[in-house]
Amino acid sequence: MNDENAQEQNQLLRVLRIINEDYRLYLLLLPIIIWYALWFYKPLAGLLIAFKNYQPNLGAMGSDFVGFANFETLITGAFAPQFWRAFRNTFVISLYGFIFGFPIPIILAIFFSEIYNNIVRGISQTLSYLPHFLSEVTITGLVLTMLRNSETNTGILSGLLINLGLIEETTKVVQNADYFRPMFIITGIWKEAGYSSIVFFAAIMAISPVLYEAIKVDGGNKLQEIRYVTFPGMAPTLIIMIVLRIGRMLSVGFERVILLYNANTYETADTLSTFVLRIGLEGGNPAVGAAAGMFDSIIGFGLVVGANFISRQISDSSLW
Amino acid sequence: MKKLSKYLMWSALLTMTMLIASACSTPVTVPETVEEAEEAVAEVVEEAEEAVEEAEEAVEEAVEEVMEEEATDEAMEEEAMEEEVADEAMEEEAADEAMEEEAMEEEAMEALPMAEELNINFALGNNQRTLTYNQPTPLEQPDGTVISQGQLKPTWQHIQSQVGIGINDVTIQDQSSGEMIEVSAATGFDSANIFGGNGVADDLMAYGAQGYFVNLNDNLDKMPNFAAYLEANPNIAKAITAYDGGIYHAAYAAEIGNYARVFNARTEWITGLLDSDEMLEAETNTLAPLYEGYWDRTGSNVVDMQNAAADGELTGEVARATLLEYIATTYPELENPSDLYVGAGAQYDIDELVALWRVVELSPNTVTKITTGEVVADAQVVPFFTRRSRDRFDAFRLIPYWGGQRVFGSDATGARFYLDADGELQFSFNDPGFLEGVGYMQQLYAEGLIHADFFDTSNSDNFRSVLYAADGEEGHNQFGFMTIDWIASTTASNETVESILPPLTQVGSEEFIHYVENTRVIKPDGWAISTSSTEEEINSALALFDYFYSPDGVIVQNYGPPYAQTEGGVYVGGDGIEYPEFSQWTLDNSCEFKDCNMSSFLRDYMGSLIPLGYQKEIGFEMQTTINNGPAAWELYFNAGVATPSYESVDPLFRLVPPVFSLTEQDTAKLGTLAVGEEQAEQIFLFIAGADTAVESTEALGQLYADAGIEDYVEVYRNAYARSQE
Repeated sequence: MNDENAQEQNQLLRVLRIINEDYRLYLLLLPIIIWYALWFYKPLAGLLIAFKNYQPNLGAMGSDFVGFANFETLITGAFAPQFWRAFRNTFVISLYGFIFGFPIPIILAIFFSEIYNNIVRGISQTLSYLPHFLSEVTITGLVLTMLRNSETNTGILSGLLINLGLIEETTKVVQNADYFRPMFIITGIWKEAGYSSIVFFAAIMAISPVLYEAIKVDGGNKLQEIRYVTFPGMAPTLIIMIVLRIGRMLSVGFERVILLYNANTYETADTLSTFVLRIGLEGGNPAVGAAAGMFDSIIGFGLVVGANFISRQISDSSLW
Repeated sequence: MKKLSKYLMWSALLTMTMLIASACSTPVTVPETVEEAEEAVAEVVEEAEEAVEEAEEAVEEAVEEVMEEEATDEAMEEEAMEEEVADEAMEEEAADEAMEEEAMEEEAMEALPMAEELNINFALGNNQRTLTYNQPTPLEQPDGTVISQGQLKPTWQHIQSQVGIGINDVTIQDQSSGEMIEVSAATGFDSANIFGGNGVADDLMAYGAQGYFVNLNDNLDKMPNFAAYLEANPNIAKAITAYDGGIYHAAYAAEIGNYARVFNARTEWITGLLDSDEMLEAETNTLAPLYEGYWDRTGSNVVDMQNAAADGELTGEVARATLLEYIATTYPELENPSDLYVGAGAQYDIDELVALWRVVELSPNTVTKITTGEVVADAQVVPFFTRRSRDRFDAFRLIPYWGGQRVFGSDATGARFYLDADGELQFSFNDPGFLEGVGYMQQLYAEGLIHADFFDTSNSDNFRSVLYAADGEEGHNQFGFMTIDWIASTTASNETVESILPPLTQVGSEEFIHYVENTRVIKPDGWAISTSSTEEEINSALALFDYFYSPDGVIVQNYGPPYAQTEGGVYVGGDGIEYPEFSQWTLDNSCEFKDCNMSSFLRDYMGSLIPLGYQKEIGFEMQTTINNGPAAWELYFNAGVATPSYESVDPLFRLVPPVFSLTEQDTAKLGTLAVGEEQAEQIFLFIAGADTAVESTEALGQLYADAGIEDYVEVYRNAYARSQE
C-alpha cells in the first residue's frame, strides 16, 4: 500500500517536473485550453434543453424534463416537413460544395505551382486570397447587387445572363429556388478557393524536385508529372482535408445561407443551421432548436468517424 | 328682462293705436241736417274719448304688468344670486374637500418610501428609439443647453425633474426586445427595476403571472391617474389583464378611435383619364385578363365587360371605353365619371377598382404626361403597391373587399385572429374566404396590377418613395397609382396624392358600406416593474408609471417638454379637439434633423412617443399633416367609414386584444406546432406564381392543417375565452 502511494507520488512529481521544465510551452497552451473549455465544453451542458420543456427563467436545469418529446416533434411531428427539408438541403449543398468546391483549390494550387515567375505568382495568389478577407456580408451584398433583377434596376450579372440568353428577362435569380445552390456554391468558390489553395500549394512545394526531374528524365509530360508526382505527393494532405470536410458535411456555413436566402428559396436553401436559428431563436422554440442542433452534431460525429475509418482502411493517413 | 318690458310697452301702444284707428275708421252715414251732423260728431268724439280711455287703461295695465314682472324678476334674480352664492359655497366646499383629498393622497404618496433612482431596460432593437440620446449631432435646446450622445433624451430629463426620480437607462441600446426578455428572464429580471419594449406584452403577462412582475391591480391606490384611465377605458383594462386576473404591464395605446391606413391615390390620373379626352396619348401596352368580376351589385360587372371586350388581349383604349360606358350606364346621375372614385360621393367596389387599375396600367403615356407635363418614355406604372416588401402583408388589406372577409383582428400583421359573426375566434389565413381572396390577388398580380417586387424581401427599396416622391427627378420613369398606407406620411410624399374612400363591401350583412379594417389599437408594447426591486424602487416605479397618465405626463410623452410647445397655444384638429401646439423650435428642428417628420424627431431626438404605457394622441400627427392630408381626415370622418372598434356590439366589427395571455401549458402546446411565418410566406409565393409555390389555395390551407392549425386555434380560443370572463 505504501509502495503504491510512493509510486503515485513519484508519478505526480515526474509530471510536475516535466511541466516545470517546459512551463513556457504549457503557458502558451493555456489560452487555447481555456478557450475550448469555455466555448466548446461548457456549452455542452446546454444540450440538456433538447430534453426539456425549456423556459429561460427556469434555466436548463430547472425546466421540466420531457425525454425525447422535442426530437419527436422535430422528426415526426409538426416540424418534420421543415426539418427533413433542411436536412436534405444541408446534405445536398455540402455534397455540391464537395464535388465542385473541393477540387478548385487543388487545381488553383497546381496552377500556382506551375507559375515560375515569382512576381506574377505572388500577385495571382494575393488576388485570389483577397475575397477571403472580405466579410460574408460584403461578399453576399455584392452578389445580391450583381444578381438583382427588379422593377427598379438590373444587376450587372443578371443583365449579362439575360443578354446571353441564359435566363429570361423576368427571372429573379435571387428569388428563385432553382438558382440558390449554384449561387451559393459559386459564391463560396469565389470567396474561399484562393485561400484554401494555400494548404495544397504548401503540400506541392514540399514534394522533392528530384521526383519531377526523374519523371522528366523518364520522358513524362506535364500531365503525367501531375498524375504521378504531384497527386501522390500531396495525398496525405488531401486525405486529411477530405476527412475534415466530411466531418463538416452537416455544418454548412449558416452566415452565407442567411445572407443569401429568403422565404422564396427555403425549398432549396434552408439548412439545419438556419432552421435551428429560425425555429429555435427567432421562433422562440429553443428546445426544438437544440434538438435539431444535437441531431446535426451526432450525424456529423458519425460521418467523421466513418470517414476516418475508411481513410485508415484505404490509405496510411487518418486523423487518429 | 328689459326686452320683455319693451315688448309689453310696444304692445300696449300698438293696441291703443289700433283702437283709435278703428274708431276713426267706423263707417258713417252722411248727415242730412246740421243737428244730425253735430250729433254724429259728438258720437265720434265720445267714441274716441272712450277709445283713448281704454287705451290709457291698457297702457296702465301693461305698465303694471311690467312692473310686476320686473318685481318678480328682481325677486328671481335675488333668489338666483342666493342660489349662486350657495352653489359657490358648495363648490368651494367640494373643491376644498377635493384639495384636501388630493393633499391627503399626496401626503400619502409622499409618505411612501421612495427610491432616488430607477434602472430601466427598455429594448426596441433600435438605438435611435431608446431613452438615451444616440444621435451623432448634439441637440441644442432653446435655453442653450446641449444634449449629447449618451445623455438621457430631453423628454426624459424633464420627466426626471417632474417625478423627482433619477433614471438610469441600462438598456443594451441595439438589443431586440425579445432577446432582452429572454436574457433578463434567465436572471429572474433582477438586472433592472423596469423592463419593457415593443411586442413584449405577452411575455410581460406570462412572466407576471409567474410572479416576476408587480401586479399593478394591487397598487392602483398608488396610481390614481392610471386607475382613472383604466376605469374610463375598461376595454384596455381587459386587454392587458393576464389569465390570472392580474395587470402586470402598462400598455402603449395608440390613437384609439382614429383611422390608420387608408386608400391613397393620384386622383389627377383618375380625372385625367376618365373625365375628358384632352390628356389622352396613344398607348401600346396590353394585358391578358385573368381576373373575373366578383360582385353582382349593379346588374352588370365592369370587369366582365372588359374581359368580353378584350378578346384575350386588353388594350388601354378598350379598357377605358368599357369603363366609361359602364359608368355612364350604371351611374347616370354622376356629373363626372371620376366621381365614382373621388370625393365624398365615391361608391365603387373592388371590381370597379380593378377596372380602373387596368386603365391606369395600360395608359403609361397619358398618366406620365398628367404628372410631368410630358410623356415619359418607357415608363413603369404600378397600379397598386405596398410601401416596402417588408410591408407586403398590407396587400392583404384588399381581401375584405371580396365579400367582407376579415383579415387582421388588430393593427398588426401578426394579428391573424378575428371574431366571426357568432363571436367565435377564427384564424384568418386559412379561412376559405381569405384563400379565395388570395386567389384573386394571384390573378391581379399576374395581370401586372400589383407591384412585381412587393413580396421580394431581398429588395429593400422604399417603393412609396420611388413611386410617389421622385416625380420631378431627371430620368425617373417609375410611377405608382395607389397604396393603402398612413395618411400623414403618404400625402406628405406627393402633393397630388389624395386619400379616397375605400371600396364598398358587405361585412356580415347585405348592405354595402365603406369599410377599412385598419384602425388604431392597443399595442403589444409596454413596460412592467420587476418584483425583484425593493419596496422603495417599486413605489418610485409606480409613481413613474402613473405620471404618464397624468395631464402633464400625457402632454410630455405626446408633445415633448414644455418648451417643445407654444405657451398657451392650441391646435384644433380635424376632429374638432384642441391639442397642444408645437413651438417653432420644434417644427424647425424636426425639419432640420428629420425632414419634417415630427414623429421620428420626437422619438429619436426628444424621447417622446416611446411605446411604453401611455395613451397616444392624434394631435401631433394632425398638426404636422400637410398637402392633402387634412382633407383625408375630413373625408373619412364625414363619410363615417366603418372600421372595427373595441366597443362594437357586432363581433365582426370588434377588435380582438393585441395579445392573448397564454398559460405555461398553452406555450408548451404551441411549441409542438409549426404554425408560423413559413405558411404565410408560401401565400406570397403563390400570389407571385413562384416555381416552388403550392399549386392551389386548397394546398395553402393544407399547409396550415399540416402545421397543426386546429390545435393552434384551440389554444387561442381558450385564452380569449379566459380574457372575457
